[in-house]
Amino acid sequence: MCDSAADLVAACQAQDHGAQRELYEKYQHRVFRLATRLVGVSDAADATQQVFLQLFRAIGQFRGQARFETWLYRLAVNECLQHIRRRGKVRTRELAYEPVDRSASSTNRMELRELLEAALGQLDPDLRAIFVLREVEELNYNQIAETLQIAEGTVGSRLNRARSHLRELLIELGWIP
Amino acid sequence: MKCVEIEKLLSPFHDGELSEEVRASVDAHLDDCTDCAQTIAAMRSMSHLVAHSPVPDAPDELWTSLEEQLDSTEAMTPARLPVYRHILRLNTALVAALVLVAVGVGIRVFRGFHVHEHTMNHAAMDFERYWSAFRMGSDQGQRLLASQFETRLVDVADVEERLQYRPVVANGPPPGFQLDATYLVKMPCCTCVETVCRGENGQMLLVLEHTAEQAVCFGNRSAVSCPCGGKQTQMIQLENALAATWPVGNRSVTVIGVQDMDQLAEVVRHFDREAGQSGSDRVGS
Repeated sequence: MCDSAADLVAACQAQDHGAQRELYEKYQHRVFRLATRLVGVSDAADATQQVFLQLFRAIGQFRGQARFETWLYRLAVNECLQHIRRRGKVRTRELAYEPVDRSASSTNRMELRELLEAALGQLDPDLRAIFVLREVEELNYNQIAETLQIAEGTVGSRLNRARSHLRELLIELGWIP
Repeated sequence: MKCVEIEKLLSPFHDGELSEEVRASVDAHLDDCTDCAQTIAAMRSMSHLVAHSPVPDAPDELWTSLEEQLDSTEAMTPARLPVYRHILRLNTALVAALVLVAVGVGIRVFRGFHVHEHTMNHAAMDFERYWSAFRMGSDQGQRLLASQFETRLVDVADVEERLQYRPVVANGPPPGFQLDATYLVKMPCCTCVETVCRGENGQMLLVLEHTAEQAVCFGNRSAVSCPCGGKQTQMIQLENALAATWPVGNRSVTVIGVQDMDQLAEVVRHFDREAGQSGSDRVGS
């Protein structure tokens, strides 16, 4: 059992299998939650697995210059965005358009949880990422800037855009603010 | 303050990221402005919606599945499948051609590689590791590269002066990408030009241009010889991406990080066109 995140990371860097399990247990809920909001419920498990495979593969490169959680979030967001791009390419070839039933009767039936997922799924992936880091993971602007490697000053304006687009999408789906 | 100034501050206001003084100004504005007040109300409603939309737990079998992949000597093989699936979806005939070309040309490629096996493996870049580092951020990737080879940040004019040719990226990155940085990298085969390109959607693409006659070395990785974008490319699969190399004039270009065969064809055609326009010749010749 490792006492701190730093010990746990060091043990994983030494290929300690038990430490890998411990690290997975410690962070799997956070990664799965992020993946669910970024890639959707149906792909969240695949994306989470990919995040941890990539994590254990790249953990030797973690030098402790950033907080481990920041590094993990960065990796998880990047993996999820890659997942979305790959999936998007396949889907756009299979379907000329994504059929969406926006009639009032359908939105009435749609639960709020499903409505949120449908709207997030239509939001630009980069805007989705910043929105999820703030609203779901509750990172502050400094942590978001470090995670996405952007200037802290641009976090607010991107969140404005993300929220504005998401609001429009939700309203189109029948949401009443 | 006016609406146009306040609008920029609405998310920071909602997220508690403003100083007391600015926060008070926004508060005062919201008392008089229905539009901005509605925007803030909508932000609060969305936060409430997110907070009250539960996320299911990760499936119990996820660790077991992950563990199997970690234990396997071919640990990353399943993770590579999606890209192959894309190839299969794209064009069955292309896949058939790929297999035939891989088998037919493979022997020739192997013989060609065998001659230089020792030298090439010695000179090989660890593409997997390099790509993995780059996906964590271009700084990390570049640091890893710099730990193995002598690198120097340059601009195109420096390249032309030092290497006496105009690199293909100098005429423009592939459509949808921007040039992030250009480096000279002293490799065992030659000094090459490395360019980091970033796509509008955040995709990273690395472009290496060598003067060496033979394509960049993939080490012990088995490359597939494949016609793509009108060129014969040597291609390997990395985790969730492809790396490919092909001749352009008397040099070779290698790209790392293309998503699939369609994108590779686009990139190959772009650089071929750019090289054709510039003559792809040595400066002053």
